[in-house]
Amino acid sequence: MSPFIQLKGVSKSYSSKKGHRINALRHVNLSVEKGEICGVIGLSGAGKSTLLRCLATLEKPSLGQILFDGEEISSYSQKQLLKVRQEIGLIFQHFHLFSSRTVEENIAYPMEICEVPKEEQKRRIAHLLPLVGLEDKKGAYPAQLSGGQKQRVGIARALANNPKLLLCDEGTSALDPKTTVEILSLIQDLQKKLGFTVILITHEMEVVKQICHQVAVLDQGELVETGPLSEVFFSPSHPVTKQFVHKTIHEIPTNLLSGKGKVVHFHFKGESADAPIITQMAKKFGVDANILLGWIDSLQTITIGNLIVELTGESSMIEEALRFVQTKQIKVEELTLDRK
Amino acid sequence: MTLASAFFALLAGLPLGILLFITAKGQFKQSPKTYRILSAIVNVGRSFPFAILIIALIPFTRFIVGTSLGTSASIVPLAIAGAFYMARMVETSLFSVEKGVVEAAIVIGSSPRQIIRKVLLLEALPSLIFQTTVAVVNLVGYTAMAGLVGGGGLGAVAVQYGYQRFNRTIMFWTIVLLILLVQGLQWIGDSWANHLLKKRGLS
Repeated sequence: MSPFIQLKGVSKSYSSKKGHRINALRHVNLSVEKGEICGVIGLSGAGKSTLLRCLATLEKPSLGQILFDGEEISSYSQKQLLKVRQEIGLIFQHFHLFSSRTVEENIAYPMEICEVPKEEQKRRIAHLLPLVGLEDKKGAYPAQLSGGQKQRVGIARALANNPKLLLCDEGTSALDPKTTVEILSLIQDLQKKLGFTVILITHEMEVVKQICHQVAVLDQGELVETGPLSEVFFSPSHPVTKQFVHKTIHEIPTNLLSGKGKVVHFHFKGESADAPIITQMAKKFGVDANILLGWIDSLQTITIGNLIVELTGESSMIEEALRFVQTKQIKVEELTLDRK
Repeated sequence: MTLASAFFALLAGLPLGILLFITAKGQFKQSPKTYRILSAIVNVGRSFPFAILIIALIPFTRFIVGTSLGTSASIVPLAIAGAFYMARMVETSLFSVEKGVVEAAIVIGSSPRQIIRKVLLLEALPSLIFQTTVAVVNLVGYTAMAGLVGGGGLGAVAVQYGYQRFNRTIMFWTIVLLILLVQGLQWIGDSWANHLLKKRGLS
């Protein structure tokens, strides 16, 4: 079965005012399955917005193809795109609701564009309002709503025509942490109920952790790493991914290092997180472990633990201890740190 | 007379202003060439001193109305000057609509016509009303000038009877009427726009 959304060798460049060429996207290849929630993460300037705008058909890629349910939409005319756009819903960081329309009327807008009969419009609005928790606000104007409420309207409006794809352009970046969690839960809920595919872009790993099935990491226009959430979290390979996934190295209290031992990062996944390896290492191999830093990531259905320790003891025993640890399905990563 | 010329000015100026806006850089029908040409026309139109415009348009006025004197005749230059003025005001108002909102409309699959009718004009409506009010008040001022060169209406009365015949009473009363007219128009425009803003929770 071919993926629902496919980007093949997508590149996008602009000429800046000074005449330089800016390569916003370089040879991006990405596949998203139907019903999947894919998070694209990257720093500011990585090309996330450009990628989203190409997916939303607001821009055409300079090179490459975008396939939407098998159709190559990157070569469509404006007229053909009108039809495709009616299958895509988009929510924005700054909501972009119609200030001249009430909540109800905002949700009705996409249906008016598609010439849905008034009766059907009313029915769908009555169905969507409770789904996003805004029944009592249907006659309010956007300026009278809070940020979280505005985004709920945004979501309802995006879903008004039963789209196959929901795109989220930093949809929670302008919201406080509590509201962010609420909105993401809402999207997750609605996705389960209605079955659409989601592609969201963000610079916040917390967002990805909460609801994404797949992660794609963008760095300077290139897709440097993709994969299922748990895999990317458990074994990030690219430095940028590591930056997002791990706490940054300089958070390790280097003043606690004796300087004589080996600093190791243990990655635990799921069941192995229960294994008492520290005491086992001490008992079996006489290796002392000084715990420098530890944290746990709960990713929807799986737990990932991280422990950064300094191991002291005879070097041959340390090697054996590490081999032993690896047999327990624990990933071992050696770190080089300077003592400050 | 003021109302009639305002009506025609709006009729011509609104589409012109919309066209200016959508062909501007960064907007959904951008076309630098078209924009430059339209912009140049509007600029030239607005730089014409009104008195000279009236005279320059006499042949055209005669062609449309049959005469170059009187109330109906004044409407032609007034409407044209008003149209150029309105075009710029409309363009400015439309620029005040958040670009993201227009993009939201595009992404939803709106055609250009739908974007103009359902989004741009409605979103910018309070601003458009404020601008139109200013334009109409200006027009009242221009009608007095029209009165100087053979037009009709209150301005002409003020000029012909009041000024040229030194009839102080008439001059006084026409001025009072003009002031009332301006105040009235301003009040209508402001009330309507403010009502909209309040309703939308924006004031």
